[in-house]
Amino acid sequence: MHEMSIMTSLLRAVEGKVREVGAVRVRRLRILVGRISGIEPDLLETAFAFLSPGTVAEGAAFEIRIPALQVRCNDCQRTFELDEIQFACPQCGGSNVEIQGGDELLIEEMEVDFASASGSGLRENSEG
Amino acid sequence: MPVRQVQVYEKILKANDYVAQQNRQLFDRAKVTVVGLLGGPGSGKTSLLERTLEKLSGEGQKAAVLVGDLATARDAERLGRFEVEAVQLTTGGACHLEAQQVHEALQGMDLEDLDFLFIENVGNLVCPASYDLGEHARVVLLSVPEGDDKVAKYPSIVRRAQALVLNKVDLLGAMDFDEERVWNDARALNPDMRFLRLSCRTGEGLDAWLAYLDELRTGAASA
Repeated sequence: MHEMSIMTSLLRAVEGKVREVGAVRVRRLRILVGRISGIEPDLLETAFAFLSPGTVAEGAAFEIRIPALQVRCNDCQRTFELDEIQFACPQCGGSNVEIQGGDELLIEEMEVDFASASGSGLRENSEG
Repeated sequence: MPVRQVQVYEKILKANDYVAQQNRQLFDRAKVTVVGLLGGPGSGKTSLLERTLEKLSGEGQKAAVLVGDLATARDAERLGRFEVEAVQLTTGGACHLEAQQVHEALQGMDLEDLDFLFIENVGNLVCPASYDLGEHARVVLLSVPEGDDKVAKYPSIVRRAQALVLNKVDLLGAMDFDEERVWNDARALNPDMRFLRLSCRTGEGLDAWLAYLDELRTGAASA
């Protein structure tokens, strides 16, 4: 399984974003995982617990949002929101359906802390 | 401490996608057609490559292969006899190839000299799905003995591929395998997908597969 590898990429992307906005740490992190992305949310949580210490996301609340799956029936022309993958129309039972989306793997939003103006200046100076 | 909410909406694997895009640019510049082969262990990825390389070399086309494997160099050895460059990428236990590994392997290759480059991923229907390598086409190989439920069970890889190849069709009569189910599930996941059926053992369907490769080649050449 590749959740550790996904988490390594995720933490690297989060570090980059935190630096980009000039923040110092992440309080809350929400990601979006599609139902057919091939990613196991439980394993991703384990990977976060294991890999986040020592990064800007250490101690952050980690939330995974899994949107419903959109399935469109080409016979009865209706779109359904389903909790699991299904290859038949829930309405007419036909098999001429199209599964739309569901493979997303995104950082959706995060809540970040900024160092107070005086504090951050001092810390940075002491490093140099 | 001041707190702020930041909307991000960025792909988690954007770093991999970026390197994949660089790979694609290298491929396009060198006018080489690059095909990724994905499938479970034993689905016939290496066998299909053997049959393909045999035919391509008969037509005077030059091909090379990058083979991902957890620990061994067996596949590269199998393919080496076709006098094509076969580079083994040993992933050291990792379950998939990433764009960066491919990028590094490309440094030692003369892409300009090639018509086709095949990238055989690690035998796995889950993990390789997430990682774009920069291929022009990703081909998922499924074989009859694996069962007709595999498309439904591994939707992500089917969704992110351009073609689905059903291998070992010579065994259809011997198994309870509903071929229609496979195609129907795949169509639901990926309506634009190309479907091919073949047998590496008997050679049935190989002409259509080669025609598909040729189509990719001319498509890539005109791009």
